[in-house]
Order: sequence, then structure tokens, then C-alpha cells
Amino acid sequence: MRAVIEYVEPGTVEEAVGFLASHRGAAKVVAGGQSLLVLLRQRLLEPEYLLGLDRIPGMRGIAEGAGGELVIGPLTTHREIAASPLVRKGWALLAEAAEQVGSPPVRNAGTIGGNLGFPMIGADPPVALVALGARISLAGPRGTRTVAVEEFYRGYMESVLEPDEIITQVALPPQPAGTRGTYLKYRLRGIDRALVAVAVTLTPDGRGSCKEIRIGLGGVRPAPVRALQAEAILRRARLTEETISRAAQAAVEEVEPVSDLSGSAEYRKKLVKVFVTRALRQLAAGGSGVGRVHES
Amino acid sequence: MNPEVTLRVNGRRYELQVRPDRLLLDVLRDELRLTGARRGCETGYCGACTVLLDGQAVHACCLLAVRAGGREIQTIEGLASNGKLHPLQRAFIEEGAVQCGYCTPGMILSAKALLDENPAPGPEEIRQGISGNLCRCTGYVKIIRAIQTVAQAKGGGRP
Ligand SMILES: Cc1cc2nc3c(=O)[nH]c(=O)nc-3n(C[C@H](O)[C@H](O)[C@H](O)COP(=O)(O)OP(=O)(O)OC[C@H]3O[C@@H](n4cnc5c(N)ncnc54)[C@H](O)[C@@H]3O)c2cc1C
Ligand code: FES
Ligand code: FES
Repeated sequence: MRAVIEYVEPGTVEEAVGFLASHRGAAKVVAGGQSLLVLLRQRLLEPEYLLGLDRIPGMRGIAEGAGGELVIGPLTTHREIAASPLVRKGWALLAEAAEQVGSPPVRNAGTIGGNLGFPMIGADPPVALVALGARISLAGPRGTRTVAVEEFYRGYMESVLEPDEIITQVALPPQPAGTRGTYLKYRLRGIDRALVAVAVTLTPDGRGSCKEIRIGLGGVRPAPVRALQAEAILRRARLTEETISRAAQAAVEEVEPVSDLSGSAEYRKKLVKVFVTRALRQLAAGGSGVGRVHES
Repeated sequence: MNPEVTLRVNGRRYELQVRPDRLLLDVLRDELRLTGARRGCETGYCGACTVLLDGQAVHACCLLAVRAGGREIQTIEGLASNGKLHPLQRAFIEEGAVQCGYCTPGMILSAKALLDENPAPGPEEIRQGISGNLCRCTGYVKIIRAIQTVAQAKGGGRP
């Protein structure tokens, strides 16, 4: 590979985006390096500068914001998210998704910012982020902006992140009282990304019906999607075998999965039906606590 | 000019000038001559290059050497102490958990990271703990048994 000239660690966000802007295209952020270094070795990327964000305050760690939201720095590793009592307390779905990433070494080094920065089909955390209504903050030379996770992704390996922007934060709103959740992943080998992943959060209305429900699907499209039709069927409805079956069918019809080396669109449709059904049945059977997760 | 990096490997300090895109694996193998970390897939899938970074298993093929500066690195060469093999190394030999040996250093280091964190793992937790390490020879059964023997012998304590 072409030699990288320099590894730099800016001390502030302004310095970092200033560096990216003045070396447009020639500088890349490196976080866990799990994906970036492979791209470098395969010469799919040939940056002249690598940027570490480690010296910038607030880039790593998990905290509760003033409004009760969960705030995660981009350099926080999958391992740290999976092990965080704070995440487990109110957003357990995300911890469960983080736990499903690759293998221990990948979780030990890989970060949530790098996962978003390398928008690969079948990534785990983004599916949970969709169901939890996460917002992503981006900083660039023109200032900062915040986008909903569904708007962050654009297509196959594409996001709205500009070459001179960095991801500075992932924020999850507090989940309404009584909200339950589930994350299910289907993959062929233990270390693989999801062929199909389903994340659901459900807020009951106290009278046996769903007040609010969000269904995120991963692995089916280049970017994670919400199953809006399926959600509409279940909102203000009871979870019964009949509504679950209609919602799962609606999810199959609305997502239009892709075909690739891991599986055909037809196969993915079948998996969507099975896993949406399973996730909803688990939620119907109970499960307690905010964002509580059930295993597949 | 290449940056100066201080690598702490198996308790020893190495002051090195490292090209900013050098991987920790290449520095360990080619410069420090610690060839226990193997070069395998170089894409994060096989685990042959596993080392411990501040006690956690990581792939040395996916880590920049400059970003490992100042942190504690442990390779298989640093596991035996005073000429005595680590209990995991002994167990791998005794249980026949080594065939060609290519996966063994990574496998043992992943097992060490697991046992340091969870001294009494069940078989499923052991499988999870070594899920980042491929073995093409043994079929894993003897590897899991070797790790189990050490877990039981330790009775919940650290080595
Ligand atoms: C063997 C293997 C198996 C895996 N399996 C899974 C899986 O099952 N599920 C899953 O979800 N993921 C999986 N991954 C992906 C992994 O979880 C990491 O999320 C991913 O490798 C990127 O994280 P990183 O921190 O290593 O980022 P890096 O590789 O350092 O960076 C990735 C990209 O993001 C950019 N970037 C990083 N941080 C920022 C930032 N703050 N701002 C702007 N850009 C940034 C970089 O410039 C680069 O382009 C797997 C990876 C490997 C190697
Ligand atoms: S050589 Fe590093 S994981 Fe295969
Ligand atoms: S002993 Fe040969 S690969 Fe494991």
C-alpha cells in the first residue's frame, strides 16, 4: 500500500475537521481500525494522513444527558456498550445488539462511530438505533448537524457523512415508561454480520394494546430500515397471533430485500417473516423492564 | 519522519520508529521477532494474530502500531514464567488441543482473556470466548476441554 505520511491526533473537533477539510480526500479518521485497515491493505483507500480522535474530550464514553437521553461518544467500543449498566438500564436493546457484533476481538477494538462510518449491510448496532430512535451528531467545517439514524444512511456503503465531517455523538432519547424491546439476529456463521436482524421497541398503553411500536430491520437492504407498514398495523392494536401474522406479512412486502452472496431476496423475505413473527411473539409473551431484551 | 513509539510487550519496553501505517502484527513479527502472533487472513476473521492489549484480545492485523503505544501488549511468548508453561499452555498439550499449531497462540490468548474475566465459564461461554479464533485441525472439542480443565482447576481464582 502507498505509505501514509503521518498519523495525527488533533486536540479539538475544530482542529480535526479543519485538517480533514484542508486535506480533502487525503485524510481519514481511524477509530478501531477493524474495517479501515483492511481497506488500506487492499488499496481500496490510500489516505496520506490518518487521524485519531482519541485526544479530543468527550469522544469516548457513555453518559446520561440532562434530558434523560443516553449519550455515546463515537470511540466507545462495542464491548463497552454491551457491558454498560447505564445502557442495560434504559436501552438494553442496544447492549444486546453490540453483544452480537462479530467476535470478542472485533467488539474489543471496534467502535460505534466506526460502525456508522463504515455503513455495511447487516451491521448490528444501527438496527437497534433505528428502533430506539437514535440521532447522530456530525461536525464539519460548516458547523454541526444532527440527523436521525434512518436519514444517516443513503445506500450501499453510503451515508450522509461528508469527507470533512466527523461523527461526534450518538444520542438515544429516554424510552417511555413500560417500553420493552427485543433484538434478534440471524447469521450463517458466528462471526458474520446479520443476514436478517430485527429490533423492536414496544410501549404498551396500559390496556393491553400497543401505544407505540418501532420495528427496525437490518441485513435486508443496504441500510437499516423501519417497517412502517407493519408498525401501522400494530399501533393501537393488541398483539395477537392474527395481528402478528398480518404485521410480519406487511414487513415482508414493504422491505424489498436485496440478493447477494449471503442469500437471495426470496430467502431474506422468508427470514424477515420468521424473525418479525418471533420478535413480536416474544414481546406478546411479556418480558419486563425498559428496553429489555430476549435472546433468540 | 517516522514517529517514535514506545511499545510495552511482555513487560519489556521497546522504543521504535514506526511508519504510521505499520500494523502491530508486522512490528511484532518483523521488528521484534515475536512470531507467535501469526499472519493469517489479515482481515479480522481468523484470529491467528490475536494478542492481548491491556488484557483484552485484539487482532494485531487490524491495529496500527502507533495506536498501541503506551499500552500493555502480551503475546504468547510472554505467557510462560520462570521457564514454566502457563496452565493453559500445559492443558493444550495434555488434552491434545494442538495439531498444526497455527491457531494455538491466538486460541490460548483468547482463552486467557476469557478466564481472567470469567474464571469459571461454561462450555457455551468458552465457545463464545474463542469465537474469533478459527482452527482448521482440531474440531474445537479438545480446545474447549483444555480450557475447561484450567477453569475447573483454578476453582474461580486467578492464576
Ligand atoms: C471480522 C469482522 C466481523 C465483524 N462483524 C460484525 C458484525 O457482526 N456486526 C457489526 O455490526 N459489525 C461487524 N463488524 C464491523 C465492526 O463491528 C466495526 O464496527 C467496524 O469494523 C468499524 O469500526 P472501527 O471502530 O474499527 O472503525 P474503523 O475501521 O477505524 O473505521 C471505519 C470507517 O469509519 C470512519 N470513522 C470512524 N470513526 C469515525 C468518526 N468518529 N467520524 C467519522 N468517521 C469515522 C473511518 O474513517 C473509516 O472510514 C465486523 C468487523 C470485522 C473485522
Ligand atoms: S490474521 Fe488477523 S484475524 Fe486473521
Ligand atoms: S491446530 Fe491447526 S489450525 Fe488449529
